[in-house]
Amino acid sequence: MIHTASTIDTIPDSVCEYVILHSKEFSWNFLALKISLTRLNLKIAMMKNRDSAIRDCCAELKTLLKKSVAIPNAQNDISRILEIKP
Amino acid sequence: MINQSLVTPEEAAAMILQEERLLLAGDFALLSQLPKGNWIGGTTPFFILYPEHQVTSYDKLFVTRLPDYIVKTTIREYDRSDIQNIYIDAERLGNVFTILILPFGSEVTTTFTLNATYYENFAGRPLAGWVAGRPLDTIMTEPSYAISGVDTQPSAEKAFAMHIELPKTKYAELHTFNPYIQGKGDDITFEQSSMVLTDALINGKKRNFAEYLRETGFNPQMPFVANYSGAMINVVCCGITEKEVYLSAPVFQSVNYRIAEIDPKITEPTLTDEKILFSATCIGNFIQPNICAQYLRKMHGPVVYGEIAYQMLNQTTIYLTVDDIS
Repeated sequence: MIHTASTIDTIPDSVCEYVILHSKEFSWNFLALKISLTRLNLKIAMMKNRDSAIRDCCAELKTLLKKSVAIPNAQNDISRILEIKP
Repeated sequence: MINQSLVTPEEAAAMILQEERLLLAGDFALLSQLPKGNWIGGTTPFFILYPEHQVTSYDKLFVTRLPDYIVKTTIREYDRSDIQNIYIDAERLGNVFTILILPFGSEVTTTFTLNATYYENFAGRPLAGWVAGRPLDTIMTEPSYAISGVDTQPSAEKAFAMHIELPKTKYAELHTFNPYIQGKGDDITFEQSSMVLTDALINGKKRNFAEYLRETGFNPQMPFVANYSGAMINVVCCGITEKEVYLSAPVFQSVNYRIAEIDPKITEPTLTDEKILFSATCIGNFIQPNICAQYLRKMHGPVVYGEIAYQMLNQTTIYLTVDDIS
């Protein structure tokens, strides 16, 4: 295991926001991440308070990644996220 | 392959009495005669099993025997009032994955299908499962059943889940095999999430969806497909009236759908079948011999009326693998 929960805590919210809003531009490996990113994208689109929605969704994304650090496909996706510079 | 086979009810009963932990699928008459024990099941007479691929049986049960390394199993029943807790329950039980069996046509199935993606802790643990059914000629007129070994009372209204705890050295992961991708046709979106559709936005222009499908010569064997950040998610049309279109899973507001085409790059999953602990295949794929014979040779399991990989899917094969944490 390369990435841990503490690694995920270092991901800036700006990167999480970019990942959620541009999720289709990347090639993800982990099924739960693919489904969750689309769900979070829709959540942001539907909520009236966009800033609050983005904060919530970034937190949800990090929580999912932390729960999934044991899974190699999730590890690969975390590596990809860490390389993103919005 | 992990301990999966067709067995007689007597053989299944013997396994239960030996305290095996089982996932079962088969005809109602067979499931309802089994003794109490550590198992859940659902009705279907159709199975994928190598080398026959497409198997129909009314006198044998499909059994998945959970491996010895499983630490613990917890069986829970759910109805429409508490199915939203399924991910929370899984989370509380530790390093678990969950197998959920829902009866076709029940309120709990509709509730889960419409709302699962909004549940607390959604996707926090692997949730696989299937919708129990019947032969196609009676699926709409006769009840389908889920059942557990806790009380052995078949239910057309309750869902049963087995939360299955892995040792800390292992992880479970869910995968899908989908022979379809989005076609090159119109962009189709909807103003509301629903399983019964009146209007759709076709390339942004509102019109009656049933009329649109008739005019364009829609082939109902083709699902509507959404691209979920690279995961192709199908929704199957199960009926068209003069003004309405009926679906077997919901379309979601603002998600872009297109009518499917067969994926030209389709390949058989490369995983070794020893790692596949559970699999379920949609009946829409089961009735296509080429798909079963070419691509589903490792996907032994029940043939179902809706398959669950975190949320309800259609016309897809889902499979769950277990591997060592490196």
